[in-house]
Amino acid sequence: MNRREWEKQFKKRLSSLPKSERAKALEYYGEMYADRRDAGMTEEEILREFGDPADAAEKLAADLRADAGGTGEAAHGGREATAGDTAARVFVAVLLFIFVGIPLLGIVFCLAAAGAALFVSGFAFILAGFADFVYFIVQMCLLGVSGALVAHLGLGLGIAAAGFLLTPLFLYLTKVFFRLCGKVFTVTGRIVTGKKREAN
Amino acid sequence: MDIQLKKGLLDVCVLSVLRKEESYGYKIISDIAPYIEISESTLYPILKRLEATGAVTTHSREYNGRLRKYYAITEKGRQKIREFIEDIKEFEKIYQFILSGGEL
Repeated sequence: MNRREWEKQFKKRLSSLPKSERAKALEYYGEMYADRRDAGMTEEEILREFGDPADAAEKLAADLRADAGGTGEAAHGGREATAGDTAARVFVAVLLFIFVGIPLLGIVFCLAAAGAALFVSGFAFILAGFADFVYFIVQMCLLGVSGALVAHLGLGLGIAAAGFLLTPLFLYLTKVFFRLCGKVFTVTGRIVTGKKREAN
Repeated sequence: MDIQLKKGLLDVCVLSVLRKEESYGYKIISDIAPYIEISESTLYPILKRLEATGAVTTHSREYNGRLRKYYAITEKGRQKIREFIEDIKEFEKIYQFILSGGEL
């Protein structure tokens, strides 16, 4: 493992900390590294001294959390999970599913359905216009030309033209709706995990 | 050694090192290491805590073309050392009491 790999793994394990905290911790290790190099140590020796990046990050994050919470070791990782904890987690998960999951799936389904409907309706417009046009051409062939039939031809062409004009807008809206589906998931995920935007 | 006890001891060890003169991360570790086990990941939260409680102040200075963070003790930090010495005197009495098997 070289220095870059060490830092990469260290940073990854600190993902629970805000970005600014992570940057400070990396800066600290960077300075330590430089000072040890100045003291004549090799990269390998220094990284051996730093220890496993996952362990170092874990220890540092645990200490910082303990200090921030003022509750010491007991509140974080110092206690084994009990059966009661598991039951509580399952209960919260069920509650989340009922009051967040199901409405969320409903919203996503509606957005997707609206998107799909818009996608289809643009083309349906064009198709209906042409069908109308062709139908009255046939009618004219069978019954002879009349003012009413010509008016219907015009109507058919008008609908098809409106379809052509509306399709790009509908396609754009379809894209927006599908994007919104994804957004609903990411935003909810962020709310549920309580992660700050900064931490991403 | 008990984790909490070691934590408290390390805080004072770091402050003691700074009592002589201001210092930086690597030097603090080198100064303390012969007496008590300390690593980078242990020192970092200590320095942060001491800074947050006003026991030390920090400033960055250029060294060898890079910035190095220096830590200096404050009056509050010195007070903390004095309190610790008082505590140790108390401990000394308890230590003697335990050694003698509860007969003083």
